[in-house]
Amino acid sequence: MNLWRLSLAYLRTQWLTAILNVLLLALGVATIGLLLLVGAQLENSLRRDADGFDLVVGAKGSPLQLILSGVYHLDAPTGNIPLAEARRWARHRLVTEAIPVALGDSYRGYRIVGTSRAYPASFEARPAAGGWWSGPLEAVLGARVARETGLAPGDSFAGAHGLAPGGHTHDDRPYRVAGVLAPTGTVLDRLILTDVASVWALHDGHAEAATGSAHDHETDRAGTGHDRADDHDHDHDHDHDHDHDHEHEHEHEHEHEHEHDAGPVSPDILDADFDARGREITVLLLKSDSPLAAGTLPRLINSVSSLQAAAPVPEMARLLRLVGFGLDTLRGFAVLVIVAAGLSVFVALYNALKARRFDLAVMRSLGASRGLLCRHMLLEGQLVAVAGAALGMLLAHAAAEVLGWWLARTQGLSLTGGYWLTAEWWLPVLASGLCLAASLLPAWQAYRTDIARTLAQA
Amino acid sequence: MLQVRDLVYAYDRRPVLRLADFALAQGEQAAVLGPSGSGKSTLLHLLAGVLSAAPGMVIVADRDWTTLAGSARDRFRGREVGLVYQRPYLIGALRVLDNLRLARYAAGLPDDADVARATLAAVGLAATARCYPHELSQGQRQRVALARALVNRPRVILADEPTANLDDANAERVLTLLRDRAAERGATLLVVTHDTRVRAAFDRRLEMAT
Repeated sequence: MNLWRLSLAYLRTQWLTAILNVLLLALGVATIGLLLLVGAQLENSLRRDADGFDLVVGAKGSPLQLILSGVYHLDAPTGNIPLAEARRWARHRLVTEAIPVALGDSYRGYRIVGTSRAYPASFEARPAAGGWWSGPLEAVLGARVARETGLAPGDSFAGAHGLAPGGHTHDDRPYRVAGVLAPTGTVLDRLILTDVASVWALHDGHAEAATGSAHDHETDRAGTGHDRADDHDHDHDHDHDHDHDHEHEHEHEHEHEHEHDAGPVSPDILDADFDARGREITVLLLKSDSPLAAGTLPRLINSVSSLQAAAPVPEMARLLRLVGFGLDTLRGFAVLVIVAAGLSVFVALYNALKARRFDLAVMRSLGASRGLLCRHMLLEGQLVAVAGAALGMLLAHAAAEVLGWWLARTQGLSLTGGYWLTAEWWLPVLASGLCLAASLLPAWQAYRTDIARTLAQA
Repeated sequence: MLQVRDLVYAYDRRPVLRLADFALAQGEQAAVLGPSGSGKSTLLHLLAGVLSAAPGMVIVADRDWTTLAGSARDRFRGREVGLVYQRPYLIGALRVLDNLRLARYAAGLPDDADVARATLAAVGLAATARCYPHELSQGQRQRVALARALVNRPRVILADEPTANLDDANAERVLTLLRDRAAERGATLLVVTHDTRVRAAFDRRLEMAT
């Protein structure tokens, strides 16, 4: 016989109450745990995807949308920008590296991204099978794209018009899979990469046909400036809007000619010799060594050109603040559940104490010290705490895993239950502290058990 | 050995108990008789060190309770004094055998299932070791309580109306077991009672005045 067996025996006699308390506590712990896990993984994932890109240059619109579409590939793009103008900023002296990104097509919901090799290089990605693209209409698949579609090097697939599934397919000009990337745990895993020229090649035919309506739409958006998270179906139009009027951009080109002398090493299409006339890309990703770049460059770009520049870091912080508000609300709710669990443990122990006052008096008469009875009540609370915390953490990780599967199917962010945080270890401490507080008064009363008076009441 | 001298116990400055001096040698058995309200339970708690009297008034198992305090006092009681109450007060959450093992644990003695089992056998209840108290009859429960008082081999056994809630047959059986097991172990036995069935069994009787 020992205190553990004694406390467990009492919990067994009140098993329904004990299980209820453990479940209540577990629910609270699981909710907080899940929020911690989701929050941390979301933040990590957002940070990893934007790592290295200091600035995103694209069409005017919502800066958050620009980041979401250009870096995270979650939202629809704000529109296209003329290559000629983008190219000038690529060669700005504060820019160390510039990566073009051209969007427009997708395959089974995975975006086909026309870019340069520097883009996968930013994520330190390497092919797990096959190699890089080397010619027109060759594509390299992200790890998840390959896994979900079953495509392997040598296979062909036809891209669909637009970024959402359901657009008409370019059956006449299929892509050939040149390689499959090893998993990077970044946005790259769910992208199909090719060169910008391939994206252009597929759309040269269409652009004229889709021009009229697309142009109207573009103007409309620029005029109202509304945040358009809800009209993804318009992608189809403005992504292929090659019919811009470039007059004013040429003026800018002359104004800033002097800034081009110390340009970075540029990929082909950003090279001055490349004929940029009539060519457009969706965004330009810029890297810079200079701390000035984050402050100066966006202001400059936003004020003197028709383009918009946004920095991923502050935009991400803004997004997290928006999401964080929801998380805080949920966290408050979880704290409420935990406090309710604490109260329930208190009520259970307090009632148990009343039912057990003869037991406690007899134990004292058998030689048990006051301290032993006190520890006995505290231990009973702690057993509930340990069980509740363990079950709660298990639930949190299971829920994160399930949520991860679900998000994987819906193209969202990667989430796993096999991710452990240092902060999580505060959860058992929290549960333990709570149950300690709940068992203090019962323990104190057990401590004060008066043998003679209690047994005289019989 | 058990000795009482000049024993007066007051509650709220009102004396509730007054007893003539007496002493019991080791192994001796006696009954304390008195009507309800004469302070029999108080006497028992004074002897068991649950309540405190002035120094020199109560000496049990060669110790004056006033020389012991706190957990040392609890431990001494657990080891040297076996208590049997009018009601069995078994721990309902524990099996019968574990009730006996709890007595060893509470007294700070090493856990010994064999000793517990042998003690249970000594009151004729070896078969009930794995039962819960609510599965036993009233008489059986009182015998388990008796075994629990014996399991630590105390030098003094104090019983407070141990037969009051039992029918004649069970009362007889419990009383016989109490006296026989105490005698076997050489423990001093003092039974506080107003039960005439008990009174007859003891040669030495102490009367309490109201």
